[in-house]
Amino acid sequence: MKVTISREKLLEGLTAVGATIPAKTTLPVLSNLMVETTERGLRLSGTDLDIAVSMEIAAEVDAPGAITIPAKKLSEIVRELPPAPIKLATSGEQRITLESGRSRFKLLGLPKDEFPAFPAVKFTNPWKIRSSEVQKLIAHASFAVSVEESRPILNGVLWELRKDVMRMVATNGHRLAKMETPWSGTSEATDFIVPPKALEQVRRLFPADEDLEIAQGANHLGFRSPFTAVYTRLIEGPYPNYEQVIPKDNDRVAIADKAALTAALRRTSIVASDQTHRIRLAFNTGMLKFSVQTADVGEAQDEIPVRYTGDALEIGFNANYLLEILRYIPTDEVKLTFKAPERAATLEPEGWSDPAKYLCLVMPLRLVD
Amino acid sequence: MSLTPQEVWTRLLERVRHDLPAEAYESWLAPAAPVSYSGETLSVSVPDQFAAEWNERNYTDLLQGYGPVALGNAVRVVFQADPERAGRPQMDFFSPTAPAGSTAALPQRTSFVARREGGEATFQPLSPRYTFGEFVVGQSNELAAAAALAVSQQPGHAYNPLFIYGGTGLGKTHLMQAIGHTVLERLPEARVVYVGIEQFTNEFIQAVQNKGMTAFKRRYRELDVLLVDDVQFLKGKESTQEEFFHTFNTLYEAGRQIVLTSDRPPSEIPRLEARLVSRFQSGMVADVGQPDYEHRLAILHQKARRDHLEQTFPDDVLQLIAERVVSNVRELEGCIIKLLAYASLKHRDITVAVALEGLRDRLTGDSAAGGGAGTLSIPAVQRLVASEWQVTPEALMSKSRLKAYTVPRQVAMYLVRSLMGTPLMQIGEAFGGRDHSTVIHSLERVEAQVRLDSDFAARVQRVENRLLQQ
Repeated sequence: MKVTISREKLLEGLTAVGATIPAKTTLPVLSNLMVETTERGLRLSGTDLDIAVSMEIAAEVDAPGAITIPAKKLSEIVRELPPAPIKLATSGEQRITLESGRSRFKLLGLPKDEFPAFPAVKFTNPWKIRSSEVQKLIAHASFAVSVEESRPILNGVLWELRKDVMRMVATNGHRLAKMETPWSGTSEATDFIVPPKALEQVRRLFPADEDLEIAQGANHLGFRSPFTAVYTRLIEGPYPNYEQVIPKDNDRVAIADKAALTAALRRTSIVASDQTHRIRLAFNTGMLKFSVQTADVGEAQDEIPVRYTGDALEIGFNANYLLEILRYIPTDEVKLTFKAPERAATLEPEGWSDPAKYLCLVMPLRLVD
Repeated sequence: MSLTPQEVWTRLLERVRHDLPAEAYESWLAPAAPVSYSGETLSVSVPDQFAAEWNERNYTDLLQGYGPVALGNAVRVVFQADPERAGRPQMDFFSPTAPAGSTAALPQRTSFVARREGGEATFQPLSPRYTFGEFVVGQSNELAAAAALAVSQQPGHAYNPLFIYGGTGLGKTHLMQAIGHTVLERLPEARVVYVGIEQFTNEFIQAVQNKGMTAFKRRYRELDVLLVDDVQFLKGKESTQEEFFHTFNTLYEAGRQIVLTSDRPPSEIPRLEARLVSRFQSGMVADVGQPDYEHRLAILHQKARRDHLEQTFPDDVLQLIAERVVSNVRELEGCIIKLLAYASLKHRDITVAVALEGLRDRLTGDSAAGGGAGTLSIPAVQRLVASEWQVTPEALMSKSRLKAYTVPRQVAMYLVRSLMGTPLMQIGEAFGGRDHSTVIHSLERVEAQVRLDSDFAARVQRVENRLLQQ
């Protein structure tokens, strides 16, 4: 293999693929990057066996070939080089030289055959989706997944493809985020449970204006565009029936200024318990009062004006769950609905002129232990 | 039966995991944790109601189907959403919501959870079967039992710490948990925690990693009674020892009761800091030993009574098991389970013959009972001993109580017992129809003599070696 490539292009490829390469691994070849020539240039690939990512970058190919190179060393070197063309050349199966100006490096790699094959996913009849649409769903839903090992299903994001809509849902059992957007492209309803780490790669690697092809293999899902591909293992379902937990009869409604609500929550939660982050909200006509009492820390009170209809209500929450959701609410005002202090509350954007629909739920904290 | 919930669950899982795809196993069964086992029902806790329902629908039949093979008896597997989670302040979409402040509504009989804030792991519940009422006291454990009873009546005052040691399956955990039960019966508000040293270690490591030391300290230092199982596993774990030392001191100085168990006395635990050894020895150190014949028989009777098996197990079968299974109590109870399964499989009543057949692998001294399958036999022992002491083999079987005869007779009985494990009654038969208590007396005499008289010991050893070389 012998290629010439610009430093910027190479760095771009290394950054894209590098995020998937595990820092520590028992299989040495996984800390390497697969580098292979294609008709258009150079393809870089990396995998941690759960997720695999590859990206093609433009390069001048003098002699075709392939090799795997330690990813970390290569990125470190390229980052320190001046912006000038870089020449890569292999000698034998395991050695590669890298030259730029007067700098010269020799790296020890591993033969390309040792690199694990990518999951078999056939793109014969793929779903086609605008990348910005998928990315919007990912950005608003996947933060809510569970990180608890004992709930492996909730560790993934549910992605539902329906006849005229697609939807992502994530929850850790305490709070839930759901976003759906109009879409037509399938006749059959299909569900996947996707690890959020893979979705994060989909979100950052594909340009927003590209059309993605998405296809399913036996136990994998593949995303690809002309230059980039992401493959991921899927989590075996079923996903719990989230529709059941979405309240339908919440009759107490508050509309609050997102910035004011966020600021008051941040202030008062400073004295909340480190473990429960418990904060008490009291809704009355026109006013929302915050109060925190933590045994060995102290107390806080605050209030902000809100538009509130319904009987007065006192309810406890983990302040962090509320703050997290507020970060993703796309409008300046937020609508909150409640039924009772032990029932799920909802948060939604207020006055959002977007074809998408966004809904978040939070389970309260008991006010008395 | 004294299988712990964890043992039962592990046995079932070992079978089931080969029948399921790895993903399904990892997603649904691996996260589940056994909570209690009553002898027929295993209850298993999962994080939420959704998982409980899914597991019940998809895996109970499969799991229950393996009961007879894996446990020797039918088992009912019940999945439940973790009640401890349901009692946490943070409510969950997929768990039943207990009304506010209702921690008292949780099942208190089997699980005792110290009150606290936030989401932490549960403590192991006490097993409902491990009470003083269920404990059979015998010579080998009476000191430990008496000390445990005293501690349960006056926690923190009688003996502190109480250190119980002994081999596996002899009742250490039983005594320890019985203390917990009794204390809770008398003082329902008491904070009693039972923990294995392994769980303590794991939580300590987690606390260090997640900067959760404050919570960890509160969890273990604000208690009334701390029951710690298997402290020998502290060996070599230096920082855990350090933490345990401080936990110990805090509780001790506050007059809280500490009970520890181990498979050996404190001074013999390798790589245990001297300051811990001396603390462990500062209260009462009591051992539980192997039960003798009468004790074993009493345990079996108790077991049969408890499980309503008096009609099923005739006395002579219980006697046979008591005579021939000498290692530990768990093994005794295992024999009952196995024999039940064997008899029901073969559609036969339980008799001595069925027991000999079904328990072939568990009974010691089988060759003698089975009619001399090996070269060792009672007549062979009698011949060799007789020639060593220059008497006739017949003299060993005679009624004569001349010292010239009684000594070799006792030695022969001793060798038959120790080499072949033959039941006492059978030994008595073979030596002129003597009573089993006579045999016990003979064995004790020889044992004492062997300790006191090295010439005598060498002589016995010589015969033993010759017998073993045959």
